[in-house]
Amino acid sequence: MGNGSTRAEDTARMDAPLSSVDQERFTSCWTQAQPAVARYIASLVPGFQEAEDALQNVAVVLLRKFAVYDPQQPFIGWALGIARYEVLNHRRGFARNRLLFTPDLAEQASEVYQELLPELDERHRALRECLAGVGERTAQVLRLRYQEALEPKDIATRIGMTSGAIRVMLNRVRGSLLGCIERRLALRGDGA
Amino acid sequence: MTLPRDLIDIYLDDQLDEQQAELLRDWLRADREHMREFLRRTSLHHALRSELQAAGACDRFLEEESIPGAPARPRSVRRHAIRPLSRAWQWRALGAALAAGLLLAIGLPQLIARHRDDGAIIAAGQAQVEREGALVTLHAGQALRDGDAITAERSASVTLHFQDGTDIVVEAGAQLTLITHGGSAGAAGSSGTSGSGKRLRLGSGRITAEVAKQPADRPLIITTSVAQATVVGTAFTLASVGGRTRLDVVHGLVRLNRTTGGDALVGAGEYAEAAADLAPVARKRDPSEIHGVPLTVGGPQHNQLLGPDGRRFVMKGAAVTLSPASPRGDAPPAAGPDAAALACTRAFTERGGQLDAMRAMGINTVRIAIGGAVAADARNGYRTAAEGYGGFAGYVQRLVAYAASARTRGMQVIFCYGGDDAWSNDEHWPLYQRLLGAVIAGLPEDGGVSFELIDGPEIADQDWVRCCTRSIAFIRSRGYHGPLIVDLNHYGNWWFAPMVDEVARTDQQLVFSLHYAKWVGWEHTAQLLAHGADHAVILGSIVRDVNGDVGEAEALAAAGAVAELVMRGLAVGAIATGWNRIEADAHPHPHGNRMTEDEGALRLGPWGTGFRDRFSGILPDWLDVPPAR
Repeated sequence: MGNGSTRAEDTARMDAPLSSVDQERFTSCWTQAQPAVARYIASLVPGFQEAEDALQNVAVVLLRKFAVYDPQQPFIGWALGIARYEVLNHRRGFARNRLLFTPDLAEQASEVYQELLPELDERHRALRECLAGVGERTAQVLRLRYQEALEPKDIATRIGMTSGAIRVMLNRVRGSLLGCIERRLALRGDGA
Repeated sequence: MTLPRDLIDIYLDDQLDEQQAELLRDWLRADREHMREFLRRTSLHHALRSELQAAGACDRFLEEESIPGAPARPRSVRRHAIRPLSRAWQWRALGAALAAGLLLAIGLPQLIARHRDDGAIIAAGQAQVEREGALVTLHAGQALRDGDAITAERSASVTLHFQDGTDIVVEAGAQLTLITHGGSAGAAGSSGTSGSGKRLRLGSGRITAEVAKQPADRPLIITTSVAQATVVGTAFTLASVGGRTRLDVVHGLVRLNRTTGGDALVGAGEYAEAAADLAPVARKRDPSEIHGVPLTVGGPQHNQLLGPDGRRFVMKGAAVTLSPASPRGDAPPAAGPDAAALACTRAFTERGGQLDAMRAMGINTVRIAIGGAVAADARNGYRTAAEGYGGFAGYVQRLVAYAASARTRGMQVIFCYGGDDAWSNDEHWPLYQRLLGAVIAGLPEDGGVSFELIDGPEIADQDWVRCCTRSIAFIRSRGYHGPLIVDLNHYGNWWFAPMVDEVARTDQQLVFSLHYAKWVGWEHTAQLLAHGADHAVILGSIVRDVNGDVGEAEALAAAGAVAELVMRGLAVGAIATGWNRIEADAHPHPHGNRMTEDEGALRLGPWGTGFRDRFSGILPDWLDVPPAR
């Protein structure tokens, strides 16, 4: 592994099976980086199924390329770079064939995302606390949307509301949760 | 460029078309900070997915495994053919295994521990908790442990909820220690194994409790420095101040023992006090003497709220009119601003004791009528409408202070203003904006406040809708984004559609209150609500005895109709008001009154203008209640 190798050498390394030590190292790196990579891909690909498929592809590519990974560089940066490439490269495979991010925006997103990582972790922790205060009905819709990955129209059918009402409800909930997260972060900031 | 929330929401629903995508790209390119904000929002989307997926995995695990304390359920055995996994599924399996491993290593033991030890949690508010020698801050949803010493913040109460349904409000600044929650055995009806019930120690301050029925051999016991209250199931307030303990019982029966001897059995409507030099004696509570504050008390209604799935809530509220003319039903003050200022000061500053008394009675919501009554009441001595609508120095500040005072006692606040006075009067509208704007500017930051626009029968539909619409727009323009309660009365028809559209335009959460049940055509109403269902939250309100001519049968039919709206997803709940007036009501109902004192209604004292029995509503937990600003 390392820099300075030729493309042919890299390809040969990639084709060779990983040693058990490298496999363990990869597992360790990937376990740490996976949540952040998943979140980054979810920002580029909003559909749950597509994002999860993309994540699987990225994991396969990372494993295959791990032999040429330079351990002097942060794994997360390397993984995000590959994730960005994979998402852009496979945009045509997405069901809706639409992708908000052009290459320049995806690159900018990757840079900003890495700056934001510590804050996003904090926000995720705050979200857990905020979710504890969500009312029963809202929780039901959140479960259907985010746990069962149902589209708003399917949720609407399930609970007898219009899809528009579900979308508005979800928008409000996300807005409320964002507000709650901000308040909690501000409180922690005050207490610091 | 402002934050394109709508576009981001559409993006998260994966419904962005190319034109919208281009707009969003332009916005993202315009400023690096835009990208940061975008990533914060899209990360929330993913975080929700990962949190709820993990929660789902845990729920399934807990259902499958036999967790001590969880009800036993038969386990079905399913057999599947074993097939090799595709590569993608191998990766999913690896991911799932990693996730499961992490859950098992980190999250699941905590989750199971919490499940087993789910005796009490913070249900609302936050508290400083002394735990094993360290001071920690606990928020809503976090579990309490035996031995925790809980101190409510100085300006806000904290509510504790026990697994058996018992709720205890620790008032601002009060200190309560959870000696033991009694374990799962403390739950009503359980056979129990722990051998002791809930044990609490009130260090100082006041608590209000609504206690679920406890096993007779394991009552809830609360000690103070001088006394001990033994509770089997009731609602009461216990206060410990300066070596003196006072117990006020709303319903049920509580025994108060003085540590140094002497006890009293205190029943509904009674109180007892204990101190080193005072043995407890049960005394009938006289509303006019509570806390030494002269009081005129209306009948606080315990409104039934029918929620989704037939869940019922009981709301306990009372309406107040904070008019300077209404301190205690005294003789009206002499005309003139000085006399009015004096009366106004008394009207507000002497209400703290009244709020305490209301809280002791279990009232959790105050509905404050603003504006119109002040300006319209000749006894207030205002010389001009401008004085009545906020030109009068101190009125708004006192109004806001009163609301804050109610909030510090853990009460919800509804500011209501009637359509038959100010906001539908074009001449007064500019003045009313001043009043309303000042009130909004002074709202407490913690939410718990909502606005209600009430109709008046003399207003023509179109005028009402026009004024209501401008009022909604004005309230929003001043930064209030909390729920609005808007009455739809028997005139309810498509004239209301523009108002619904205004709500849709501004995405305000709107709570429709359906009054005057008798005249509303339900199918017609369903159509109207369906029109607004994308944009509004509907809370049906049924009044039994509007103008004395809606009887029990009509009200029950209306309740059924609203329940149907709930089931059809067109409404989120229904309030039934006016069910529970008692015989002593100043306006006895020809069909009789339903609620007895045993059920929690209070016998009326003389009505004052300052405290009236009417509609009230606390927004239930399944309604999203964003903060006031």
